[in-house]
Amino acid sequence: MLEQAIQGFLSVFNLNTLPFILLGIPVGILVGILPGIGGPAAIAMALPFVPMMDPGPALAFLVALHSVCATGGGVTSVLLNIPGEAFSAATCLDGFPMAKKGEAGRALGAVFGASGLGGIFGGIWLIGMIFVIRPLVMLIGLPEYFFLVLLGISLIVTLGRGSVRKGLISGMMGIFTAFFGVHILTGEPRFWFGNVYLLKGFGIIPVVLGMFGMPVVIELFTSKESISEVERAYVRAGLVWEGIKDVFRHFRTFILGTMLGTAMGSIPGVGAQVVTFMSYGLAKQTSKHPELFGTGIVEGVIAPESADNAKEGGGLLSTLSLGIPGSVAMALLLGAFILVGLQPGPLFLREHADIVFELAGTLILANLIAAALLSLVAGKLAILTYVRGILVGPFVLILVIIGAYCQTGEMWDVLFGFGFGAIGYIMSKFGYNRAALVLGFILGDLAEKYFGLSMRTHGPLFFLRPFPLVLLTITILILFSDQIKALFKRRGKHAR
Amino acid sequence: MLGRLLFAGFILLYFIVPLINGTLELSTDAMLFPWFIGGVGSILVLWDMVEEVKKARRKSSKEAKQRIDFEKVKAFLSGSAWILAILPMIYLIGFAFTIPIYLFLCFKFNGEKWPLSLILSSMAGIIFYFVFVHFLRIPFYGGLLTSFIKG
Repeated sequence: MLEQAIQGFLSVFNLNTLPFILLGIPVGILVGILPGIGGPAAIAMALPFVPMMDPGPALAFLVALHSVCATGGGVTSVLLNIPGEAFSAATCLDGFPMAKKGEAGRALGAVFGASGLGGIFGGIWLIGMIFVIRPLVMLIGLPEYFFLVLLGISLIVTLGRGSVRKGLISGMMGIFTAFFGVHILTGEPRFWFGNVYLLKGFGIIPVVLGMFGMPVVIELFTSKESISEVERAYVRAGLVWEGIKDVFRHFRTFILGTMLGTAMGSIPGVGAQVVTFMSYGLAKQTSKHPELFGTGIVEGVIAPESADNAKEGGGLLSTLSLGIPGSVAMALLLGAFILVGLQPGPLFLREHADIVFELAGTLILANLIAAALLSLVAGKLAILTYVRGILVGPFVLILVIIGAYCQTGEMWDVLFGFGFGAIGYIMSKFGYNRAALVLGFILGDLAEKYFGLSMRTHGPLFFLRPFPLVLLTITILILFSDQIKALFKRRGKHAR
Repeated sequence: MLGRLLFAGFILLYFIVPLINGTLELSTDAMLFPWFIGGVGSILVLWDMVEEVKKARRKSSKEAKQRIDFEKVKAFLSGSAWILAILPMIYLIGFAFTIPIYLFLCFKFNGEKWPLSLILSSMAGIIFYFVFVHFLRIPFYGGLLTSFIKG
């Protein structure tokens, strides 16, 4: 395994992979800076090109793109009080007040230092944990696989803003969408209504682009104003270096943030936004001067930024080792693995450990380069947020359409992409959970396969085994956590 | 409320129509899991519809006072029309011609100046064509009119 680790890690510098990592970094930074597009939409738009590339470089490109989005998001949080990414919102709390005090450069330096080093820490965590987790996941059998898939979907269901009921409906819509086409075990053509396109089943790309790409396009076309109305803060280059040094001056805040980020990132279902605010809260609680948080102090920037990038290593761990993505972006990354013919899960660590190490190496390298690159050009990049929506929207629309078209070369994919786009937009407006639909769709085939195989090998009571029962109990507890909490509260009041 | 109910109704049909079709044509093995997922999904949708009606009854007096923001509706309709307009264009003249023409029309009709609209749309047309057709070797759909003219 050590040999695989070295080989995988070195392949990052391979001439087939390195250019794609270097391409992913500026794209990720750009997406992070432009509010409204976001990491998941960017991954969705990049997905169509993945099958045209070798698995290693393709996945490295996506990981590089996603891992630096947060660093880019920090720039607009500090300079304009606009989080480029939802999870950069915690950085606004102290970053923008620092910019107003004339310390924009220092705040940006802290963003780059903390997020770059935090991302590197996340990559190292991923490498270390692979050695620990690999023997454990080998114990998982067919029924356990089925319940792991259900657990993954239920975790995404609870991540959404809307009700759990709407999240469940979305997840089930996703699983149901995967049923169109040939049945995975019996080979019977199912739900095809005489249409040859439906006989092949829906492709991942039209579904993902529709759900995450089209709603962004609609928003950009509808809001014709520029994203930012705030006057841009002046960035002094000398202060950027001071900010980077601040990360080492407040090393305890940085370490607490990275440890919290990696640990929480490894637990599927913990939203990225929660991690950054938790880290901010922890830094405030353990600080000698908590009353200064929110007034523009550098610890308030270091804490969320270090947790933000560090969580990606943890997120990759649960996605690759168990096949359970902890966030929307990881769910889309899971789709990318399937598109290149790889299935993350317990067997993945044994059969493709080199890819896991390559991705860990990508995480480290991308964060390092992004931090260095942004230190040089951050102040100038913020100007992108003054571009009007109507200038960006048509480009994104064309990318979405070509993306949907190029995998199979069929106009049906474009039409269904538009159809799923309309559904995705309505879902986002009515409080449904689009991520749950996409994850349900990606894992739907697998769920049915493991369900069918478990029924055949263990009978209808296949869930009456210790580990499946534990997983089922956890799933139920997660889905009904609100009701259970309310029940305990009512009983507590009654007892008093 | 009506919009939410209509969308819930659409989801219900999305579950039920294939289930009925599959039950008539397919084996139990192929329909077992769809019945489970579609069945539970349908029950949840019905529950959701009931909850929406209850919520709407509670809020009905407040909502009656709210006015529709016609500016927002107008912006949404105009944005959606622009998005949908690209489909017939691609169908008729294909990707290669649609990309620059569509971008130019979008920019010009939304208040951009002639030089910016012309430069951005022509550059984008060239870049998209070069990247996808030459570099990635993805043959663009030619369009109905183009193939008709070519004979």
